[in-house]
Amino acid sequence: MNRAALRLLLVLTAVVALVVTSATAYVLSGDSWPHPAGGPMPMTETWALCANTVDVNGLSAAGAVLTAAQTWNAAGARFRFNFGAFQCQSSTPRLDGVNQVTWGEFHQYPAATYVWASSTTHQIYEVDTIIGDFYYKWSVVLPTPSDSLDIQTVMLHEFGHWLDLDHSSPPAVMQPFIDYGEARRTLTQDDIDGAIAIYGCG
Amino acid sequence: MHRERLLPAALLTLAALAPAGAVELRSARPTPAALAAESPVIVHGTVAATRSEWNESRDFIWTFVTLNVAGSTKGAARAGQAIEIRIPNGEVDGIRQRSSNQVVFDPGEEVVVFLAPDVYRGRPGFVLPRLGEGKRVVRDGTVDGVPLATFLGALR
Repeated sequence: MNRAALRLLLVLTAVVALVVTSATAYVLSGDSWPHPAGGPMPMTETWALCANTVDVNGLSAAGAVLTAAQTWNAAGARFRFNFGAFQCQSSTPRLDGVNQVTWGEFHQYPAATYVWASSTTHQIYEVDTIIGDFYYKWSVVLPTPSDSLDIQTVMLHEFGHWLDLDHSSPPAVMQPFIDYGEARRTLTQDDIDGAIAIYGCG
Repeated sequence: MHRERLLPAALLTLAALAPAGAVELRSARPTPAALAAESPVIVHGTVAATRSEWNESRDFIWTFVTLNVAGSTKGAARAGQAIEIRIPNGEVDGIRQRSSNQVVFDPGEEVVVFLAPDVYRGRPGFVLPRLGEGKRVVRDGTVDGVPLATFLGALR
C-alpha cells in the first residue's frame, strides 16, 4: 500500500471513530412544546400527578417525582415544569388534555412516556407517563434497595422524554436501561445540552 | 505496511474507541433466550402492511401490523399465515402518538418477533409484551450478526 492510500485509510478511520464516539450525544425525537411568539419565557407546561403507588406512601412518592421535575427546572434550559395538581384523571395514558404522571398496571417497562404531537408542525399537544406498579417495586430511599427501582431516577429520565429527549447512552440520564438498586439523580452535561438545544438557555 | 495487516489494526482501533458503557447496555438488555422463555409465540416473517386507528374513545392510537409468517419457532402461528400485531403508537388525523421504548414496523421488513396472544375488539391477534426488545430485524440473513437459522435454533 502506498503512502497516499495509507493516509486515506487513517483519515477514514478517524472519521468513522468520530461518528462512533458521537453516538454518546443526546438524541432528539423531533417534537417540542409550542413556543408562541411573545409568550412567557421561560415557557412552562403544567402537569398533574397521581401518586398512587402501593410501594411508597403518596407524599414520599410525590416528593421524588416533584424533585425530578425541579432538577430539570434548575438545569438551565428555557423550560419549566409547572406542577398543577394532585389528580388521578386516568390510570392509563390517554389524550385527554391533562399532562399526567401516574402509576398503573403496566409491566412492559418500569415506566413509559406517551407523547401526542402534530405530525405536521411537530408541536406537542400532551404527554403522559405511566409507571409500572405491582410488577416493579419502588423506593425513594438511598441507597436504593437491591430489589427496588428509584422513583426519582426513573422520573428524571421520563421528564427528559417530556422535553423531547430520546434515548441516549451512558452515563446520560437518558440512557435506556436501569438496574434494581441503581440511583442516577443528577443530570449529565449531555442531558442538559439536549434540553438547551430544544428550548435555549434561560 | 501491507493492507492485510493495516485493516485489522484499523478495526481494533475503532473497537477501542467504541463508547464506554456499551457492554453495560447490552448486559441490561434482555437476551434472546430470556425473551424466548417469557414469550408464548415466536415467529419470523415479513411485514405486509401497517394501519393505525383511534381506540373507541378516540384518545389513544393503535397500529396494527400485518405480518406474513415465514416460520414459527414457538406457539400456534404457522408458516404461510398472516397474523396481526397491535402496537401502542401511530399516526391518525394529523396526530402522531409515540412512546419511549416504542417499536415501529415498516412494510417489507423481515423480522423475528416475540409475541403474546391478544384479543382486541373481538379480533384475535398478538402484542409485543416487550415492545422494541421483542422485535429483531433480519438483515442479509442475519439477526444481531448471527445467521437467522442459528439465532432461531438457539431459541428452541
